[in-house]
Amino acid sequence: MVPIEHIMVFTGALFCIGVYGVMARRNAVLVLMAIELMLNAVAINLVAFGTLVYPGQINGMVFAIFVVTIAAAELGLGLAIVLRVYRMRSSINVDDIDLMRW
Amino acid sequence: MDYAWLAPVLPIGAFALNVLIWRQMGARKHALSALTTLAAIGGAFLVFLAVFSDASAHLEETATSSGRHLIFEGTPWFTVGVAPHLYVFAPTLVVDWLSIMMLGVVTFLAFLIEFYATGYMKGDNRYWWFFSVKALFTAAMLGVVLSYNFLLMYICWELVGLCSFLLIGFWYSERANAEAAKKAFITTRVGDVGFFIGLALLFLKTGTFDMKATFAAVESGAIDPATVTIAGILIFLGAMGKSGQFPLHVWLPDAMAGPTPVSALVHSATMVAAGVYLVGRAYPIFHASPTTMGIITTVGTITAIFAATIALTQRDIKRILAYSTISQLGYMIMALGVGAYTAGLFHLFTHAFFKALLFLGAGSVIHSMEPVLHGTGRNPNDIFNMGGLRKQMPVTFWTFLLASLSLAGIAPLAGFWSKDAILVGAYEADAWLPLIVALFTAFLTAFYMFRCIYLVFFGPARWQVATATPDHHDNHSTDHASGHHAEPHESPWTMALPLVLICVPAIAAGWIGIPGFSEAFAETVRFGPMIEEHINLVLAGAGTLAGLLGIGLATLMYLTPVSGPRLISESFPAVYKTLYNKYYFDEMYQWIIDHVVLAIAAMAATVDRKILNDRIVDWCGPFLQGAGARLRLTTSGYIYHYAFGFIIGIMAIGVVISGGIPDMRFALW
Amino acid sequence: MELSAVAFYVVAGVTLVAALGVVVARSVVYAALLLILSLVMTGLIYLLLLADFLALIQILVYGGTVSILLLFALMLTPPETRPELNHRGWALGAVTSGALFALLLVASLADKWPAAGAARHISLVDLGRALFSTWAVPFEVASVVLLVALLGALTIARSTSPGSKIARRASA
Repeated sequence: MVPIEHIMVFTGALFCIGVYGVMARRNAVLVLMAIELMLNAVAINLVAFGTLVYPGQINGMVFAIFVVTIAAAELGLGLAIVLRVYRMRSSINVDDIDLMRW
Repeated sequence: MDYAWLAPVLPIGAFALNVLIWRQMGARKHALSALTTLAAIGGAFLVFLAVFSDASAHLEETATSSGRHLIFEGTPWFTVGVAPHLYVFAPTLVVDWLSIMMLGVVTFLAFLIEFYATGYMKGDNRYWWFFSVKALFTAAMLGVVLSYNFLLMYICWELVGLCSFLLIGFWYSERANAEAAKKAFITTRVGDVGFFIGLALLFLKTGTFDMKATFAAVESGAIDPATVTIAGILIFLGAMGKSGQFPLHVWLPDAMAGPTPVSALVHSATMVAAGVYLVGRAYPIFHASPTTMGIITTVGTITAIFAATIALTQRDIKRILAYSTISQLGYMIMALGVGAYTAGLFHLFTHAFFKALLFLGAGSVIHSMEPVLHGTGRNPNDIFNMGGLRKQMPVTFWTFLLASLSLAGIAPLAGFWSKDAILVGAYEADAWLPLIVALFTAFLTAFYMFRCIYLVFFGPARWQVATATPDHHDNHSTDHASGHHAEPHESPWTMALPLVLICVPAIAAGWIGIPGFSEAFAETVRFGPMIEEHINLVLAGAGTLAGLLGIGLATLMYLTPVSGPRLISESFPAVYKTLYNKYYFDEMYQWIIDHVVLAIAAMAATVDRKILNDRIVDWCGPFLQGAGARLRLTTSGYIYHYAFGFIIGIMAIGVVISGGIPDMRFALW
Repeated sequence: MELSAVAFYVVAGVTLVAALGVVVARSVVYAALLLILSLVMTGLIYLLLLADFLALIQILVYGGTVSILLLFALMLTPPETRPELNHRGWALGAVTSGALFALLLVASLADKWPAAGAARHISLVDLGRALFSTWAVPFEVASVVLLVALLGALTIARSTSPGSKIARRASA
C-alpha cells in the first residue's frame, strides 16, 4: 500500500478542486456538487489514516460513515433550498441571489 | 471634657434642621430658624462654660505629659492608600487653653451677634437662610479651633470660607455684593491653595495629618529644615488669605457689602482671627524656622501700617473699621512673628470683643440712617452724611466710644494691656523696626478712630442737609419712610442689649493679662515655659502717648469746624489720592487678571476650540462614516467573496493553532 | 510496486480527473455524470483501504441516491441561458485553492507520521458492535439529523402557490 503522504496529497488535491468549484461555479447545484467532492476528500483521508496509520482502530471508518450520512442529509436540504429559491427568483445563478448585500 | 465635640455639632444640627425641615414650614420658618440657631449657639456657649470649669479644675492633672492639652480622637471616617502606607483619618479634637479661649470668644460673640441680627435683619425675606448659614459658619469655625488634625481643620477652614462667601453675597441681587463675595472667595482661595500645598508637603514627609505627630516630627528634626521652612511659609499663606494680610487684603474692605452682623462676627472677630489662630496652633512649625518667623514679622508689620494709612482717608464707616481690622491683625501676626506668642493671642482675644462691638455700633448707626437718607441717593454708610448722632443714639455712642478707646490702647481698657504686651514682646525680641512701626500705627489708629467718632457723633447734623435736597418741599419730608419722622433714633432693644453686653468684655477682657496683677492668660496660653511679664513703664508710656497724640490731633482737626482736613488733602493731593484709592491695589490685581490670567485662559480656550474641537472631535464622525462606507462594500452578496474570506480565515487559524508553517521536508520518495 | 499501490494510483488519478471535470465542464449534465464517476472511484479507494462496508455505503448512497437527486434538481431548474458557467472572478478561486493546496502540501509532507503496522481488515461484526456501543449516541443523533433534514426539505420545497393541491391540503 502507498505511504500515507501520497494519500494526503491526493485528498488535499481533491479538496482544493472542490474549493475551486465552490468559488468558481455559478450554478447553485454545481456548487453543491463541489461541496460533495470536498466531503468525499475528507472521508477518504479519515479512512486512510484509520487503516494505514492506526490499523485495527475503528474510529476512522466510523467517522467516515457519519460524514457520508451528514453529507447526504445536507445535500437533500441544500437542493430543497435551491428549488425554493428558483421558484422565487426564477434563477439559480448565485450571482443573482444578492439581496444580502450593502 | 470629652463632650467638647458637642460645640461644633450643635450648630450643624441647627443648620440641618433649618434647611431640611423648617424650610418647608412656610412663613414660620423665619422665626423657627432664628430660634433654632440661637438655641444651638447658646448650647455651644454652655458647652464652653462646662469645658472651662472642667479645665480649670482638671486640665493640668489629666493632660498628657507631652503638653498641656487633651486630645480626643473620634471614630475613623475613612482610610486611604494601600498597606503598608495606610492612612486612617479620624476627627481628632484638642482641648487646651488656646482652644478653650477661642471656643469662648466664638460662642459668646456668635450668640450675642445672632441676637443682634434678629433685630437687624428683621423683614428680610431670606431671614431664615441667614440664620442657617450663620449656624453652619459657627459650626465650621468651632471645628477649626477645636480640630487637632490638619485635614479636619482644612475641611472646616474651607467651610468657613464658603459661609463667608454666602454671607457676603447675601443680598446678591445687587451686582456689587455678588462681586465682593466672589472676590473674597477667590482671594482667600489663593491663600488656601498655599495652605493645602503646605499640608501636602508635611504629609509627604510624615505620612499623617495628625498635628501631634507632625509637631513631634518637626521638633525632633525628623523633617529637613528646608521643608519645614517651605511648609511653614505655605501654611502661613493660608493664614494671610484668611486674615487679610498684605497683599491678600483686598477682599476684606469689599466684604463689608454683607450685612453688618456678618461683618461683626465673621470679618472682625472670628473668621479673620482664624488665620492668627492657625499661626498660633501650628506655632511649632513656624518657630522651628527663623526664616519663616522673619517673613511672618515682615508681613504683619507691613500690613499694620499699610492698612492704617488707608483708613485715614476712608469715608465709609464700615470700611474704616475693615481697614482697622486688617491693621490690628497685622499687629497680631507681627507679635507672633517676633516670638511674642502670648501677646499676639492676647490681642486676638481682646480685639475680638471691641472690634465686634465697633461693628455692631456701626450697624446700629447705619440701621438708623437708612430710613433717614432713603430716597436721597446719599450713602447711609458715609460718615460725611452723619453728624451729631450722640444726642439721638446715646447707647450706641457710649459703647462705640468705649470700644474706640480700647482700640486706641488707653488704660485701663482691654486694648491697652494687649497692645502693651505686644510692644513689650517686640522690645524683648530686639525687633526695633516693628516696635517703631507699631507705635506709629498706634498713633494712626487712635487718629482715624476718633476722626470717625467726631464726624459721626459730634458736629453739625449733616444728614439734615442731606435730606433737604432742592426738589423736595417741606411737606414731602414728613411722608418719607412710611410715616416716620425722618430722624435717626436709637436702635431697638434687640440690638442695643448686645452692644451693652459686649461692652463689658471690651473693657475688662484685658484684666486677665495684667502683669503683676492677674497672669491668668500668660499662664495658660503660652508656647513653652511661662514668661514672667513685668510692666515696662517706658513702653507703656510710649504707647499711651501715641494714642493720646492721635486723639488730640483728631480733636484738633475734626471737633473744630471741618477745615483742617481739607487743607491737608488739598496740599498733598497725590498722597491723598493714593491713600483714598487704597494704593491702587485693586486696579493692579485687576490688570494682572486681565492681562495674565485671562490671556492664558483665552489661549487655552483657543486650543480647545480650534484644535481639540474642530480638528479632533469633528474628525471622528466623518472618519467613521467614511470607514464604514468603505468597509461595507465587502458584503457584496457574492458567495465566492464570502467563501474566499472563509477559506483564508481557516488557513490562518490553522497556521496559528498549529504553531506556524512547518518547513518542507520532502518525504515523498 | 504492489498491485494495490498501482491500483490506487490509477483510481486516484481517475478520481482527480473526474473531479476536475466536475468543476470545469461546460454542460451541467456532464458535470453531474463526472461527479458520479468520481464518487464511484472513491468507493473503489475505500475497497483498497480495506473498508468494504464503507465502499458499499458509498456506492449505494452516493452513486445511487445522491446522483439521482442531483440529476432531478438539474432537471427541475432551467438550463443556463448564459454561456458562462464560471464567474468573472474564477481566478480568485484558482488562487485560493492553489494557496490552500500549497499549505496542505507543506503540512502533510513536513512531519513524519507515525509508523504503522500491517493494515488489518475490520469485520462487519466489529463495526456493528462499535456503532451500537461506543458510537451509539452519535448514531442516534445522526438519525435525528436525517429526520430533521427530511422534514426540513419537505417544508422548504413545498409548493405554496394557491392552485397546488399540497398548499390546499396544508392550509386545510
